[in-house]
Amino acid sequence: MLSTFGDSLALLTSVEAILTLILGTMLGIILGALPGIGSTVAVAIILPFTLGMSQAPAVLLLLAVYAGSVYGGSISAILINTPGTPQSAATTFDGYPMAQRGEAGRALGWATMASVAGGIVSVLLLILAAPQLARLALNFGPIETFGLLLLGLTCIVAVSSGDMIKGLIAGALGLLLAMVGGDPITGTPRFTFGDFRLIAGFDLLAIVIGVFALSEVLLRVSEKLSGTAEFVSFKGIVLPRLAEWKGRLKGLAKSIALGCGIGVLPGTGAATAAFVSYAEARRSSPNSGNFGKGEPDGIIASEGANNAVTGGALVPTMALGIPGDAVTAVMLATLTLHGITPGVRLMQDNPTLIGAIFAGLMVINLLLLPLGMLASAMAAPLLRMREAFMLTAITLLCFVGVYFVRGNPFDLWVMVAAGISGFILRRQGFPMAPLVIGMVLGPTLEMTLRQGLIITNGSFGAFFASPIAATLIVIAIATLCWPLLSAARGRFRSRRGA
Amino acid sequence: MTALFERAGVTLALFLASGAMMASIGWRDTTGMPPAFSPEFFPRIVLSVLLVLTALGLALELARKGGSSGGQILRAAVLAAAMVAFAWAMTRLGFFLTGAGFSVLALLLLGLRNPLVIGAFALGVPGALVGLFNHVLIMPLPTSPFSHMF
Amino acid sequence: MISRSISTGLMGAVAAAGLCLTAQTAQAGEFPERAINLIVPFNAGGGTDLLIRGFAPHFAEAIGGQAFVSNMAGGAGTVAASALAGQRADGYQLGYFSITIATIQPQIREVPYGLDSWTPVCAVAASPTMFFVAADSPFQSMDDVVTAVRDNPGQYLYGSSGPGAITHLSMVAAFEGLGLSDHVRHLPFQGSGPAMQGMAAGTIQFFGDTELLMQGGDLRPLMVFNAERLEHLPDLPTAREVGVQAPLDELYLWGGLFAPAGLDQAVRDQLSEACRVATESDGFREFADRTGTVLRYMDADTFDAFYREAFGAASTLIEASGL
Repeated sequence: MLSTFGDSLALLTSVEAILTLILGTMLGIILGALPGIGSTVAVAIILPFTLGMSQAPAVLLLLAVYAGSVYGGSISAILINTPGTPQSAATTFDGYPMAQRGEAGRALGWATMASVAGGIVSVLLLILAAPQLARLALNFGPIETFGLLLLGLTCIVAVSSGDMIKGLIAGALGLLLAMVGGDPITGTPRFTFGDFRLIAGFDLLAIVIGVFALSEVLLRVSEKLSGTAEFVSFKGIVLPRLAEWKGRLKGLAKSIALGCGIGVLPGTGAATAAFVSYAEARRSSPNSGNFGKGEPDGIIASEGANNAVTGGALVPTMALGIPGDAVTAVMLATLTLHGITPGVRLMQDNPTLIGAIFAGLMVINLLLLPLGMLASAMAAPLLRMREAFMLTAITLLCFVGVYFVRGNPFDLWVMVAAGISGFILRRQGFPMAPLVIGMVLGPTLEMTLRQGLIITNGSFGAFFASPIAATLIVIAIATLCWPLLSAARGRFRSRRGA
Repeated sequence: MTALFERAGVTLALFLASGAMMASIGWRDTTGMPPAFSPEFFPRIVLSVLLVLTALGLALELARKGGSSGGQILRAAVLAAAMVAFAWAMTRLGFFLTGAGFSVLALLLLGLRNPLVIGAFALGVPGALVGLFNHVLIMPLPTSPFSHMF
Repeated sequence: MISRSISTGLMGAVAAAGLCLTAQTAQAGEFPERAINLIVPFNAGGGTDLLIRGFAPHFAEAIGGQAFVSNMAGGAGTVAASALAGQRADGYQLGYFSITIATIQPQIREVPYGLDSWTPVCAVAASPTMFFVAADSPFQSMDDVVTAVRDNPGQYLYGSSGPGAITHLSMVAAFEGLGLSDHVRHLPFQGSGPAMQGMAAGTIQFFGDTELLMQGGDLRPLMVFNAERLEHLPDLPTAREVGVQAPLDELYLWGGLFAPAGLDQAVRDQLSEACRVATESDGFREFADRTGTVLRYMDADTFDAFYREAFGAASTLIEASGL
């Protein structure tokens, strides 16, 4: 055991490995922060370079870019209200309001600390309990996943406190957008209106970039430009003081637990984890009244959860040889290429390599702190650019990023259309976050609902036969109905009062 | 009046669009397929919800007064048109030419007048991106019909 | 900032000019004048993507030029095929299409390409598919499966990575070929990962894919859709031995390079020859071994005939699968 550990460390302490970790993490942070270039594109950019490397550095490079990009997405989410990756969308809810208040540095500080904590705890969990967790996840069939996603949907209520109806409309629109394309069960095209280019459906990132980044550009252009003022006031990360964590640690622990748990389940992912965690934090946080107005608890919930997914997603990958998401699938394939057979025996057969991967992940997560500060320091002068340059550069980057998501020129049209529609909707006070939530959760929600119906031979009642699913569904319905009821009661009261 | 027109117009458009989509798949299931195998099963649920919500929203908009309108709408509209042109031209003229053209237009629109500054940005930023992706990473952006170098 | 933009711009311009010169002096007028684009119709990191990324350097060496891989994902591969079908056939853009993209999808979907949209260049791989059950499953042979399914109609589920995928078609071939397609139900998943989770959890009992899948999960193969038994698995019966009727008893996940229709004959043969050299190179063979891919090279004419026959044969499968 100890000698294995020594060998693992030896793999990590080579100059090649250390450079790989630092450069990979930095590159991941930068790519993740650029609007449009999500984790998958970041990994795609880096993949060709891993082919010529030896085993451990190749896998570590991918992991570093992956973890770095998940964190990097939060930088642009907070500073320019544009989630660099879909999983950072929930970070914009409170991160950007803080930045607008001139507290961008503090917002990034919270995001960084939550990310590092989430990443490290999830790696520890991966090291200590991967086989047990993987077994546990097997209890989560389509029906239980459906319950979980329904709970995730209630996040729509949580993020549309301003105007509930408009938030719900945006959420339903997101679900609708996700349906365009081939039906997941039968393959029949839906809402394609005979245009074959729609068969592949709308790409999530193209829509996210459109409704967040391009519509933001259009909104700013439609307002009176400040000729000289900074884009946002930002001088670098300000880490939260120890005393400020008081009362927030419970929320952090809960969001990390949610992130780990959801990461372990196949086919859900970091964006789902961030949304579910945000909804839960808003329900239970002592500061829930400030959510959406720049509340650190909201940033902690989103960033703690989405970084915890990185370790969680590796649990089924390492313990069962089943990839937890698209990025871990790439990693499994890379292992295969380097002559390692992924699968149930992976951990027993290659203890040295796995040890190095675990230790490397630890280092990567620790590196997020200094490298995140470095990347933010680099971003700070960019943000002092005049707004005109900033807006033009963001637009150019959006086109580049979305072009690379899946190499499909049609996605550019989708992005522009989403941008213009997003502009029109946002002018009328429709929040865009629920739309993204609907689009992220929609496909899997529908899939698991219909899978469940196939398994139970078409019985809706059978969904409640599973205790896990029944509990989740009941909580979801309660969460969904409660604010509606209280809002109706409030309106009734105020009308009687007036 | 224009404010109300814009507010209610958006919600009305959403209401009509969801009605039209519902009509395109039929208001109720006539195939008799079990829900799990019917592609229209889930869309019908979501569209019904959307119809109810937009109808409610429309009623609220009509009852409410005031609202924001105006701003530099023309400027945003021109930039939106430029984005559409970008999407059209990027695969035809290549990223560099399109990006440079868009940058010039966007910067002029946003009030910049110094030709040197505009030129430097419009050539520099798209040029750097093309250099990086096409020639360093070999992950080419679309190139122009004139040269496969940019 | 502005000065920085200018300097980066200038550097880019200088670098671009430099590359321009070297490219032109290399070989003028001769194919290939510039880099050849190998289009992978799926996201980066999938099995197909890695195979082509491993193939590209050997192919580039054999053709005496540059080759790069690009991904165009979506619509089960039809997005890339549709885009390529509309391109000029100059030999600089080649797509790597599998059985499902080339022969199945155009017959079940409205896509802007069909049988005659392509100049087949070469076949690279053809892996036989297998019938899997979980390693802890009570089924030890196909006889067990047939008996159990016949005695409990409607109780057993087979999984797939999505409708119309090779994982779906192999199960259709198995149960249709055994006359049991009315007795089992199909449960599609969003990709092979979730399906394998379903297999481990016991939600589904049967799954079909190539041997590559066996490396990952705890699976037991019960038959192989190959003409004869596999050398390294001599105890595994072929589908025909089990009783699967022709033409459903052989099903390969094959893939090859395609150019748009109307490619110049000389260029086609040059590409096809380079493809042969690359496919037979030691480096790529070793690479394919590690990814569990069975290489099977065919030259342009052989592949053309094979492709046309496969296109016709696909209709049996399509009819049986109800797609």
